[in-house]
Amino acid sequence: MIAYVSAEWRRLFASRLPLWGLVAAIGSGALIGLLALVGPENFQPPLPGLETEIGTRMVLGLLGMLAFVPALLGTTAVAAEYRHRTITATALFVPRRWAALVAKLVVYAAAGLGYGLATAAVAGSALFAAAAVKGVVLGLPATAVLALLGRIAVAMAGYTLLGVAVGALLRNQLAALAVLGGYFYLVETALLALPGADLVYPYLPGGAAAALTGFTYVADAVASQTGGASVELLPASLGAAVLLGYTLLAALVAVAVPLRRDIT
Amino acid sequence: MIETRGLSKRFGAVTAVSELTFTVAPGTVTAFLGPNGAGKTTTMRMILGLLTPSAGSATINGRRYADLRRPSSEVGAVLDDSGFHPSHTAHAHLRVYACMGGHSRSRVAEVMEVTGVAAFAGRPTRTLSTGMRQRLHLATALLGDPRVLVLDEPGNGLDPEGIAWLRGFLRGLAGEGRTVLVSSHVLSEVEQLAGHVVMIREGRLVTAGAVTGLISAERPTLEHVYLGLTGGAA
Ligand SMILES: Nc1ncnc2c1ncn2[C@@H]1O[C@H](COP(=O)(O)OP(=O)(O)OP(=O)(O)O)[C@@H](O)[C@H]1O
Ligand SMILES: [Mg+2]
Repeated sequence: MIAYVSAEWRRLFASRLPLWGLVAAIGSGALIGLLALVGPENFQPPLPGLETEIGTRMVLGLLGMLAFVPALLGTTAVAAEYRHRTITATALFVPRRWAALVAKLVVYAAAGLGYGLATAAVAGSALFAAAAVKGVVLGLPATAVLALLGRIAVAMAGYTLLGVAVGALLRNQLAALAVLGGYFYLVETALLALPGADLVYPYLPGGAAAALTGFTYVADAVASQTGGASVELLPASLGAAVLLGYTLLAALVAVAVPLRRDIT
Repeated sequence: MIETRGLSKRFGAVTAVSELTFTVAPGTVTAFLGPNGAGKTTTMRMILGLLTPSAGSATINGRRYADLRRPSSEVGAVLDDSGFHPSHTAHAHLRVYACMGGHSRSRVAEVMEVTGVAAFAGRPTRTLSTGMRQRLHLATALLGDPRVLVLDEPGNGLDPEGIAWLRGFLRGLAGEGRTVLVSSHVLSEVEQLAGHVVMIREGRLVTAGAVTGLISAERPTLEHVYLGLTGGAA
């Protein structure tokens, strides 16, 4: 298993994906810095500024919204094995297909966490810098900001694994990207408009991630548009547990399903 | 030693391979012949555990591929549909699979040397020619120094020099007592390369045996034998 993990690590770092990942991580972080610099008070519609707790949470929560980016990178990496037909060689070298996939999951959990930490580091520095430039004190103590950033990094690692699992299940890179992107951007948000959704949403991946990262903007926005009551998210720790559950479930399905399929 | 027993594969309504029983012995190159769509690739993929047989079994040294302890050290394979990550260099590709199979760095250098991959080791695989890709596939197959080789049209895309080299190389491997199964459509080449043939048609065995036993006064070349047995015009 150690050999498989180090082979997958080598495969990842011999490609250009880590470079793109780094670009995306820095880009996401910098975007947060830009938003902080502009300030929520200048958003459309205007929101409480950085000096308020809500304002600071809001800007950090937007970073949580970008957690799907590493999921897309994970999907890309796994589906690429089918697209470039390296899956044949991999299956020959590791006939126990679950073992090959477990190695991938280990590698991408680490890579996803690395991505999350890089993003959080850039975003955190940019946020503090923006506050300093604007001469405001953030509405949250620095320790709370760091804790939120850490949770976002963990959520990103979880999402990366979800992406890997979806890629392994669907095999087709475009289909997997479409499903993943469509789900996070459309399906979950659309679900919120249904009656009774407020009961289900906290337990969906997006809702659980929102609880983990303390970001309720999407839920609140939908609630205000439909005139419904705002959705009560789970406590952060429970959100983390639910997200972990989804990740494990996706990984389990991804490991179990290909076992019975022919490699054609 | 490769053995198939009543090996069959159906894809929906299509029966690709039907009740195929043959043995591939070590020490000589065995050519796997048959018209397009006869089921050669399907049979090889079942031997290699990539396809699950609908019936029957295929074993390598008495074990199913999936049950081999270190598959890449026992069996090397070249398959027509396999590929490379486009941004990996040839060397990086070999290092990934050497790592996966637990083969050493020096072994990577060795296979690059014998297959000629060393000449383009630093190039991204997306820039490689058909023949270069074929050499890289062969190098990947050889990483574990396997005793059994299963090669699906390994000569495809090789230049005349490459084909002559491959012939000598495969004969050398068989001469060391290895088991070598090679599919091909180039009968003149097979005649110089193989000691045995397994011939199939529409998924069924047509004949198997030593080349010398198949050639006769009426059928002086492998092409005569092939066309006679597979129903083509002689
Ligand atoms: N994945 C698949 N799904 C459906 N049919 C398939 C599949 N793979 C192969 N076949 C069919 O099985 C039969 C045997 O195909 P196969 O590729 O094994 O032939 P082959 O002897 O390798 O041919 P060639 O000399 O052209 O390489 C053909 O009729 C082919 O269409
Ligand atoms: Mg074929």
